[in-house]
Amino acid sequence: MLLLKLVLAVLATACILVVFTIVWVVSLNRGADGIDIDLVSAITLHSPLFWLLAITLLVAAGWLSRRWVFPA
Amino acid sequence: MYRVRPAGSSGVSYHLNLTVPSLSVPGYGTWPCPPSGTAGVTAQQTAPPGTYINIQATEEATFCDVFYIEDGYSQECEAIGNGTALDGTGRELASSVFPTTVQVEGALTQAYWSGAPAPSCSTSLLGTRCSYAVKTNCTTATTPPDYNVGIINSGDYVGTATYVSWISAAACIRFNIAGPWICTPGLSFINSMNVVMPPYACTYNP
Repeated sequence: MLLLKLVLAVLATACILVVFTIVWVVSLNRGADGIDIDLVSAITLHSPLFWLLAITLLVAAGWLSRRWVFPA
Repeated sequence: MYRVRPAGSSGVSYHLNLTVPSLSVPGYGTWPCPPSGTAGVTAQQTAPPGTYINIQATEEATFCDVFYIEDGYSQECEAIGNGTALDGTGRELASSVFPTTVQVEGALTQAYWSGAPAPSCSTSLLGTRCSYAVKTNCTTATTPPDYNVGIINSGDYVGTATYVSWISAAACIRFNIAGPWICTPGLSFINSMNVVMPPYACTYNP
């Protein structure tokens, strides 16, 4: 059960990060029909703001997992 | 899905039948409902006057090829339905015809910028982004493409290139066989810079 919870928490976190990245990229390129893949990497992998928000999400996910997967 | 708002007598009941392969969905206010679909799927609901009821019949469709790639890209599923709702005395409360054809495809389109007009660029913490007004570059047989690209956001190539060509990929959907495709913003990659590309066989399913 513990392993299942852990797997679910990791998968949910990964899904949230993927959705967040898609929303981030699309919102920064409103009006564009096509987005250059190099630009996608520039506004995600090379963006301090993106990583700040992504790490915030990871920390929040870790805190939630700590309370749900390993409750005291 | 079929929504009616019964008015009049209480205890009105309706049902929908779904028949494959034509997937017709006739709805009647009679009760009880004899199954008439291939698999005999019916749905019925009773509600007092003044309430909205939502009737839905679902049947596994033999020829519904949602997961079948028919022509290389397209997946399609067709459901044609019509419904009539009658009250307990036979009066028609509502009727509807709702043919729905859903097609989904992954679309590729080639587009280029030939140095003009000048792109609109902005620089921020995220680096420099430029919006290029592009023209599609597809073969005559595949023009206009399903995924029509007008603007591509990319890096700053002003001064370094006078011609840039991209291949863009996007997911598209449409709800009628002959209707226009609605596409997501696509992911693009540069396939040529300063070398004019020949027309590309873009995704074309009119």
